Amino acid sequence: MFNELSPRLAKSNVIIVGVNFDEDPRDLTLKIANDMGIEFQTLSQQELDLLGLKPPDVLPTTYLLSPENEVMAKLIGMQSEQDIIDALTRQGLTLLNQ
Amino acid sequence: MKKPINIPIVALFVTLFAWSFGVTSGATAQSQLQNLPSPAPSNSSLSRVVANESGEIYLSWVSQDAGQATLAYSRLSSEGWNTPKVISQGSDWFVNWADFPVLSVDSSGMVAHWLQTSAQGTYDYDIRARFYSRNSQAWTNPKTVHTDGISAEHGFVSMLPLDDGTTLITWLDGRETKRGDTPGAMTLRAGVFDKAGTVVKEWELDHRVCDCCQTSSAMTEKGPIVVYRDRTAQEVRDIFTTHLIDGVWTSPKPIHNDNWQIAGCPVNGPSVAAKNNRVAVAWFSAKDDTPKVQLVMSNDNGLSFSEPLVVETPNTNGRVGTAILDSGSIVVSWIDTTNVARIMLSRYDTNGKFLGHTEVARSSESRRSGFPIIEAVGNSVFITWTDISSVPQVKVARIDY
Repeated sequence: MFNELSPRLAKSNVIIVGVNFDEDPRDLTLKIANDMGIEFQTLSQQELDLLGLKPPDVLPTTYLLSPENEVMAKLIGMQSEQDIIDALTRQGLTLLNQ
Repeated sequence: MKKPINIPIVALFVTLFAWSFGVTSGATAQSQLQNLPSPAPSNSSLSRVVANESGEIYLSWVSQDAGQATLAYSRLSSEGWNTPKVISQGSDWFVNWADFPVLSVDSSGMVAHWLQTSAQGTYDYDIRARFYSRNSQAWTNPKTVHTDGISAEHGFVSMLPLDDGTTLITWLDGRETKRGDTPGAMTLRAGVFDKAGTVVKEWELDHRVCDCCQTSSAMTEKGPIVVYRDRTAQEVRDIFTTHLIDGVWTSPKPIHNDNWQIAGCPVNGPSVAAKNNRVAVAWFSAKDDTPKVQLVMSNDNGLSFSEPLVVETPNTNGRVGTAILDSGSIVVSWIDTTNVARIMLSRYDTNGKFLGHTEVARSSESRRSGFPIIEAVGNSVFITWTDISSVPQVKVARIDY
């Protein structure tokens, strides 16, 4: 779902990035992402540290971050495409024609 | 007018289906903490400490070098740690911070397991085990614990030596997740294995459980007790228990109705300890986004439990362990996330009265720091963890009460 949503949200300047919760090394993270068919960007632990995100209590967890890296929303559990769009809308984002 | 803004979505993923994806200080006046030399080499992690009936302590760990993983162990004698012995090695293992090898020991032998990838799928792996008999003084060849032959996730093992020399092994089994057009849920299974690694009996204990939380088991006067994180159709993931009494497993039931409803996995299983008819279970929950470690006690072999005691909230990420001392005191290990993460022990008397905290070591909220493991011998607790302040290395300490 994120693979399909990623290029569409990009039109509204929304970027989807993935984080490997298991903190595997970058090469293994990229291999896992490849095995799982993940086409959007993934972050290493070092990059995640810069975002100042603490590990979530539950997986999967989806965060909406502002351009200033502030956590605007935390969505727990599996999310549908509509869940993501609704959450972005609640943050005041007007999505461009997808 | 609402303007388009640049919002990155960070999706955190896991194991099964999706990416979304010692420093010594603070020991209380009632306890004495002693850091022991570690027999594990640099680049070691995933350690467990376990005792046999005689109170002999064994430490197991996984070390990694040049793409190869090695499972080894050492026994603590009066002269210190014995020379480490290798149980198994491989370059195709699934090495994971939350799902890692168990070593079980008793007077008749040992059992150890590791996880070996079974297919291209990132999270398809088998539980492989070797069984050691003191009579023959030899390990068996590696055996696959489960018999489904399906490439799926199998792991989160707990082991319990039984009186007749066999071993009860409990695990999460993902065979139903790979069946047909409508995949099922993760299941909880258990089997009894003899010293040759032959399965004597096997059961499905629960048809729908949380996907990636550790299982835990202990021996009561009534027989084995297994605790795990359940998963209802409504995604309530509370801690459940089941007992093997006179050869029959009791219907699973909750130890407490947290009603923690989450469509995801906390990767944070419960821990059970038992001594005679007394049972203690500690676990983590985060209902309403409020992290909490709780403890329940039982004086009837786990057939009923006390109301929960809150060990800590909200500054914890769980990763609990439980032990019962000869004095009857209960010790719970957990991670304190106030400012710098710390490995903590909290002790309670037989009535649940809080007796004090012991800070074992500074740690990290990072998954690479793993799950501390504790084991009681007499009125002492042995604890092991991974120090990731530089090159990861297994540490071990003893706390006397």
